[in-house]
Amino acid sequence: MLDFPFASGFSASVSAALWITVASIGGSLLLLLYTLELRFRRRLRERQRARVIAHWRAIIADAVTGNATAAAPTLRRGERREFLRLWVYTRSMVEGAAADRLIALARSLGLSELARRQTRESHIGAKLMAIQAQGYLRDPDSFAELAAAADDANPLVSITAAEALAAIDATRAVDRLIPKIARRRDWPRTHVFKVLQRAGSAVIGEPLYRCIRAAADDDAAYLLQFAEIAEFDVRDALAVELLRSRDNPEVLAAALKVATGHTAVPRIDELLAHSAWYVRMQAARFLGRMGRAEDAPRLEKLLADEEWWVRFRAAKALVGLPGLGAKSLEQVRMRLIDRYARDILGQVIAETSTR
Amino acid sequence: MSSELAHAIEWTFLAYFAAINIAYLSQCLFAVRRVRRYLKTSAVDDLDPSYSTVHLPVSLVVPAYNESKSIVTSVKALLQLEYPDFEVVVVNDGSTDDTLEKLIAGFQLYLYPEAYRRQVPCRAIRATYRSARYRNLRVVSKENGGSKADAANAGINICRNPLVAIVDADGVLQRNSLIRAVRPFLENPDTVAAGGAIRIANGCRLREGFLEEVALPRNPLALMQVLEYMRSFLFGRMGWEPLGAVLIVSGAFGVFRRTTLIEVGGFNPQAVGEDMELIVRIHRIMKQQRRRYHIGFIPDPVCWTDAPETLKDLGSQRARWHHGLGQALMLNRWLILNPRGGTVSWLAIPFYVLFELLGPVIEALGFVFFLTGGISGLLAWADAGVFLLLALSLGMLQSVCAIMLEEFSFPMYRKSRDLALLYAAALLESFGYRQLTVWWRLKGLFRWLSGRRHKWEQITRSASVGTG
Repeated sequence: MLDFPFASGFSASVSAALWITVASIGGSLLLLLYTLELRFRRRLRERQRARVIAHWRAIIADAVTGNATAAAPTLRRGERREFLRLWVYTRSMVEGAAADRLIALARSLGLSELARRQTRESHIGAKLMAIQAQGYLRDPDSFAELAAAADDANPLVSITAAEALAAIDATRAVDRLIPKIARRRDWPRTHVFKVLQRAGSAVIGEPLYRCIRAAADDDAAYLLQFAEIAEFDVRDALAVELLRSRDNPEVLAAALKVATGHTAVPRIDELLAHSAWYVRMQAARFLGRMGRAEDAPRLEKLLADEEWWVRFRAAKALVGLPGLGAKSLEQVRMRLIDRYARDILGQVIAETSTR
Repeated sequence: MSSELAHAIEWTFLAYFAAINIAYLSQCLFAVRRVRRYLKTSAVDDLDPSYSTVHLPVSLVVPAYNESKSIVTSVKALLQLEYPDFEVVVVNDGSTDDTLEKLIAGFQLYLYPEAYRRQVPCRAIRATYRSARYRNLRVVSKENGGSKADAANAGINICRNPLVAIVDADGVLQRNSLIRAVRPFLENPDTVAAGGAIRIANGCRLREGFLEEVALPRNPLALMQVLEYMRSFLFGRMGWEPLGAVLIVSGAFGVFRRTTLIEVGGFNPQAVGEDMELIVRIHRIMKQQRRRYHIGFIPDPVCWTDAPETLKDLGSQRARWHHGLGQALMLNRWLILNPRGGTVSWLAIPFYVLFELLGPVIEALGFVFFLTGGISGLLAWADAGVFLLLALSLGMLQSVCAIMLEEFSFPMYRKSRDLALLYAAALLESFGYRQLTVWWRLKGLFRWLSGRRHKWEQITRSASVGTG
């Protein structure tokens, strides 16, 4: 053990303690300096950011309102990242002519090329921003690069690229993306919905129908949730076909969920008594959407179901049926023998009457 | 005591110091890596509003016991959170003050026949109310269950959404807290629970239940706790997250998958530290059933809480926490060094037993040893001084690491004066404050060993919180 020059008489354990003390004090000082450096750099960055934003915000605002009188100044190297952020943020909030003017401004500043370059960066935040920018720019030349990014292992990168593709060319994008959706369960569902919504119900109907029909049970059940965006006839056709041809409870529940209620579906009595509670629940919801008074006895039976959600959905459906006024509903409630059935109907009646 | 024995004890303490600090510093390194990765992906949050409008409906459960002073402001603030789909379920746990009356008047509540399912144990629910003004607000009035756990369970029974956030009635949330806290559930479908960093609200200025200005507290006890919370959340929990071994999601604010809460039986009303016990139990049950699961943690400050400012309140809180720690580990002792337990059994639990649960015993023994050794002449005072300096410098290193992580992730204290105050606190906490916490924790350990029970505990509020 090395001795300290001023404490050479210490035992080995005390010397070791002293060494650790010195090392930890040294470490603390280094960390303190690093913290100060972090703070200094952050302030510098914030000041620079504020300067860039102040400069470009006015130009972007003029582009949005159509008040730009002169050509935009050159975008300097140090300003690019912040400008891109500002532009994407503004672009996400405007549509129509204002969006077109923003796109024209971006193109005049070479933003397409900048965004394409930034897409290849490793920093995920920068990459995502660049991908979004390409989508908002609607530049067809970006399609191939974005299609590659849509295969990225990172779910945020790939789904953001999918969104951008849908913004550039919805039909082409949907053809490429729909077969991927079942495989990419890591894509946040809200974003998948957003991509499909952006493409439009008319565009997604046919490819989604084809894909679901051909899919195995697990994939079909997963994909069916997105069929809610499709047009009514596609949804009902899918529901009828799957309810007729499949027995997997997940598929049955998902098919019932997308059925609009405009068309009757097969096997409804069988589904109302299905062993999986979620199938019974979706069947009750479906009857609610159908809205036929003659279905009331079927729903009444489900009010005493062992599963709370089935009882709740059955009560909701029953209360929503046409021709059943408050008085009739109260009569139904009074004649129910099962306490749970009475309770749930009481709750839903109260809930509906206070709206 | 011979001098050989004294040396052996010195080496033992040295080894303990080395082990505990290597463990803490490793956590710090893991935390830095995790925060860096988190910051890279969270950059997108500032970008397109669509990224924050995720749609996983959340039920906020707010257990409340004698919260008359602040409940209306707190609930109003919760109702203003930025989130597309959420409901607030306030559970009045048989308050003896006018908490319920304040809620009824403040939100135009009316009685409502809720047909709920009792899926986790709780005391009888007397009545459920709905608000005529806010469709997403419900209030449950129940018999006093004697614990926050029982009230939280009632909320779990009543709420309907797939995610449940348990929030302290006196907690101050950021407007985007839910958006942030739900992220782990979106990014990893195996996530069953997630928490975020909790910060101290003392000294901050609040307006209508939201934070208006962040500042350090003037009260020295609260200031020391700011540092403790930074250490605990920024590298304590953040460091365990990548190892899949987060053992605590704070009771002040935590988000859970409702099905998981029901599967594991909800909160344990007998547990003193119900938040930690729940998470350790989730680990145990998931490991026993060999299931994939993830407990997430985000470094964002999601909730600001009122810290005790008196020795009595703080001592009582710390004793309770330590009692809860012992109980949580004992109730789930299956996890201790279990071959099926992975990093939880082989890293986190041994760490908590050795350094957290037994830490105060060893620290107290250290004080006694060096003090009596010095007095009796077995140890030179200079030797004792070196060990004291060692404890001080290592403690300071941990705090400095935490301050660095705060600056690196989400710096809240922007004034240079605040930074200087934090460093001063890091230096001074070893002179009295640490010794006091050792004493309180020893009391908690004793209470756990003697099997005493705890009930709802209320602390004296600092002026800033719950007003405005």
